[in-house]
Amino acid sequence: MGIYFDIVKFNFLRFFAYPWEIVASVLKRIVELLFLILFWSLVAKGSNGNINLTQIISYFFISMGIRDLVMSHWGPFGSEVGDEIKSGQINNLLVKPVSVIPTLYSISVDKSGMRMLLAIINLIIGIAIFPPKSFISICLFIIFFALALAISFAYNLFQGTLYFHLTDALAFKNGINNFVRILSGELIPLYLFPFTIGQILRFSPFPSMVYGPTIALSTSKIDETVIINILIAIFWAIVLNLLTFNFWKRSIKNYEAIGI
Amino acid sequence: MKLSEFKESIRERWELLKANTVFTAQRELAYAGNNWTNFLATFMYTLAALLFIKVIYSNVQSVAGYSYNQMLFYFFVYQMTYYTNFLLSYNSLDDLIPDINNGNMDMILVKPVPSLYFIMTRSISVVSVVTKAIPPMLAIILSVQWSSLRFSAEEIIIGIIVWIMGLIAIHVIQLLGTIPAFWFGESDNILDLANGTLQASNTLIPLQGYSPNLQKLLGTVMPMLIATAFTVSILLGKSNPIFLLVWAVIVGVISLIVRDIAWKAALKHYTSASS
Repeated sequence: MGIYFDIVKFNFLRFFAYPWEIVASVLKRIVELLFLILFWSLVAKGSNGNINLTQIISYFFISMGIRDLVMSHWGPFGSEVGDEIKSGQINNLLVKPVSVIPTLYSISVDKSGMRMLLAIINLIIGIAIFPPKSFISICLFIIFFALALAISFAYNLFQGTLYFHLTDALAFKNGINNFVRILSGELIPLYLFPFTIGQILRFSPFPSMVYGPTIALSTSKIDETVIINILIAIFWAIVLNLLTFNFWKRSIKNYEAIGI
Repeated sequence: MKLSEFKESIRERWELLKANTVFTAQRELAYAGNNWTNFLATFMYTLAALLFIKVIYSNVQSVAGYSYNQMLFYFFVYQMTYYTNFLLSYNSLDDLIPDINNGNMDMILVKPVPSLYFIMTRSISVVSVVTKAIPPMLAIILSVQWSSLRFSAEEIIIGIIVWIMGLIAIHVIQLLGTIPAFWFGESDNILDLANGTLQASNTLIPLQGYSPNLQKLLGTVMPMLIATAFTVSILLGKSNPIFLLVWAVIVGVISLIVRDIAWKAALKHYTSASS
């Protein structure tokens, strides 16, 4: 286990070699948030009070934090797997006495180190603006967050494994990501969707990646809806991971490279 | 400069542009699968964005005074700006950072061609833009209800000039986000910051959504609103076209001057194994 922490530490320290790059990533996050607030304040103004600005700003602070922590946003773990396959560097890992998937996961965590730090800050600010309603909210958040992590893991691994089969899966991956950003509630809370679309989406794995944990913080009681949502998320977390690991195993079995 | 020298310089640049464009197109055509996935990716993005606008407008009547149809038109102009910028500016600048970082810049500087012009034309990816841009743009064109939008000839001409000036301004911002690599060796995140700000400021926030101070800031110091927000505001008759035209031309000209100064300063600071 220690080796994976060392990988995380090593690449994260490398990032500090370029201090202006750190400043730029922090500034980018601030700019993104400022424009997001401006946009939603315009939408809230036009909604005649149907959209609560404080609540929606808190929603986006929290959801931006969650999407980066679980890596559902542009799938950095998937990109890392894909890049290693595309460049052939995965061969180096395959001949080493390490597990390939945990190693690549550690590398992608450390490469997104700064983003993860900012994500935690986002999460804290979001919670400060609109604090959890009760202890139940915190428990629900932890459950939904763990499930979001599992689903996003499968989603990333699927994207990365595609590179075994396509010459360059980057564009395809970006296309999927654009849809996932909307369907997961990253760009727009699912409660603002028309009712029918919202209900259909509820049974898909996407809302559990961002919307589920975000909205859990403002849920104060466990009712039938919450239980069904947890069961849906558990179902997808298990099914997607089983399917993706199977896809990975089949793909790597057919992988041919010099020296392997 | 004599007229004959000027003519020779133009001829040289034309040959360079042709050669680079043909080479990039041949490289792109070699990977047909990538072109199909590029098409799929941008098409999916556009559908997702159209869905986003639809969902927003199912909750509100207007955003900053823009109706659903006007917002679709805004998105249309924004996408035009995005793809043109991608074709003529971003793609080339994105390739420049690793070149500075790994010393390939030497190979460019020793060529007997104008360096900035060569850099800006070497990655003009016509095939990629055609496959990426045309199908999604068609989807947007079909979504907009054109009959309810009325443009005068004067507004169209001024709109096009302002749009071009806006594209120049965006290109210069991106260049300024790239050249710190000459000093620090890396500027991926700085360029990313420039692009992130550009995208954030143009994504569905019309000119009228900004306070007067923000309009001034994002129209002068960081001129990101000119290409899309100014152009749309002029075309929809929401702003004084002459005022915005003068504003855009001044900013465009200053941007070009800044570009030349910044590029010369960057080259002065470039150090490599062979220079």
